Parts: sequence; structure tokens; C-alpha cells
Amino acid sequence: MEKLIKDGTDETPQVILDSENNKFEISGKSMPEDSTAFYRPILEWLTQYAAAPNRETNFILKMFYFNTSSSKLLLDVLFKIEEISQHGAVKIIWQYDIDDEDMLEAGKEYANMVEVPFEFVSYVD
Amino acid sequence: MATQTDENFVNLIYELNNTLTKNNIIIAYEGEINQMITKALAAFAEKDEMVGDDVTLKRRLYHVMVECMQNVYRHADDQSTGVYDGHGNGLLMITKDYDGYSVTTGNAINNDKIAELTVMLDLVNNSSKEEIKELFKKKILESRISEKGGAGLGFIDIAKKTGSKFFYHFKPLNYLTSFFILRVKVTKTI
Repeated sequence: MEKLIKDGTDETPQVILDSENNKFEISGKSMPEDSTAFYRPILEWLTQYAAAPNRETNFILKMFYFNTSSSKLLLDVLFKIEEISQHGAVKIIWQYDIDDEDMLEAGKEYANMVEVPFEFVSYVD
Repeated sequence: MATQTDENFVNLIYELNNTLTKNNIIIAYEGEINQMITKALAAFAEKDEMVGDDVTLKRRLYHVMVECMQNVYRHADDQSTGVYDGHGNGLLMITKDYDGYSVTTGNAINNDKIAELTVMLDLVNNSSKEEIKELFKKKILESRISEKGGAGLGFIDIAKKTGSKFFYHFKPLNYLTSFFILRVKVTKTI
């Protein structure tokens, strides 16, 4: 499956969706003007991947900041990841700045909304 | 010898400076608010030199500034026609308080929006921290991104992150529009 790679900018996150190398990551800032347009290819990629995923998928979400409309789209991403679990093992690795209590809280809220195991990993900025 | 114009200008600057310092206003911007302006102004909240090194406070301020400015550029109507013309014009003001910051926006809106905004802001203001969390969860699960790119979650999300109540006011401008003032306090502790 073709990989989907996007470099991060000051308003969009870095995206790595690479099934061949088993690397899945969205990281950085998310406050695009048109969040639906930004996340559409990501959701489409995940829909395709969910049909025949790798045996094990560890999905890293390492967000520095996301705005409210991105929070809705990230939830859609999580629902797609949930679909993967029907055909393979899947885990979300929620990485957060150790000093950013709201980002940890946001991860915990997502963990309550989807049926996917979350692992919380702090990092020091 | 200063001319009359020079003197007016000098007085203007002097008064402006006094107003800003007396009211602890550290940022005041008036004009078009778009994505570029939003990023430029919110960058203030990322600087340790400006807001200190408390990560949670910094990110909260950043978040509230971005959300409030996005509200202006997605929802501000033209003052004379009352129609959204794709350009959000408005005011952004940041004040430094003893325990954090206040973010205030001001923009024209069509009077038709007042009722809906009042219901939403009162609902959020009258909800407890737990109720806000529940409301957020309910809304994020059922919301769809609107044409203007908003998720309809902004006020709830701001209240969830800041734990503070909104101050708001609608000052009538003409028979079509009002000036919508919204203030949110951002502090370290909720």
C-alpha cells in the first residue's frame, strides 16, 4: 500500500502512514483553516488500510496543539483506527509533553470514546 | 515648534499609551482577522519571555487565542449589511491579570445570531466542570464540521480548558447588527 507522508507546518501536523515499515504517526500542531480537507486523505488511507492491516499497528499520536475542529477530525481518525482492530492488533501511543496536563487529559478523554487500548507516554520538551 | 497635527498625534499616542498601561493591555489589534493574523498573534503565547515557562498556562492561552480569533474570522458579519462576507473583522485584546490573562474579542454580528449565542453561552456558563465535560463529549460525538470549518464546539472547549465563565455583551450598532464582546479568563488553575 502506498505510504502517505506529509511534513509538518506551523498549522498542520507531520503525518507518517507507512504500512511497509509499520510506522504510523501524527505529530505536531493542527489548526488548519480547512480541517476537513486536511484530514480527508488521512481518513481515506486509514479506511483502505483497515481492510487489510498489518498484524500489529502501533499508532503514535504526539500532538503539541490541536484546535477544536481538529479535535473532531482526530476523533474520526481514532474511529478509523478502531476499525483496524477488527483485523489486527492495534494500540494508540499517546505521547504528551510531561508539563502539559491538558494534553494528557485530552488523550484520556479520547480513550473513553473509542474501543482501542491507549498507552500514555510522556516526553520532556 | 509642533504643528497642530503633530500635537494631535502626540496626544493620541500619549492617551493610547496611558489607556494600554492603566488597563494592563499587552496586545490590542483591530482589523481583519484571518489565519495568518491568528498565527502571528497567537505566537505571543508561545514565548517564555512573554508568558513565562508554565507549559499548561501557555498552551491554554494559545488555545483560547486561536479559538477566539477563529470565531471572529468565521462568524463576524459586516457591520452595515449584517452579512458574512468571508472576512472577519474585529478586535482582539489581551490583558495581563494578577492570576493569568484575559482574552477579549469584539466584532459585529447579525442580530439574528444573538438568541442562539446567548443560549449557548448561558448553557456553558451555568454548567459545572463535570457537565461541561459531558457536554463536550456529547457534542464531539455528534457534531459535523460546518461549511465555515467550525465544529460548533468552540465555546464548550474553551470553558473546559479554562474553567472560567464567559463575559459577553451585545451592544446594538444599528437595526441589523450588534457589537459582540466576549471575554475569557485564562488561568493556571481551573
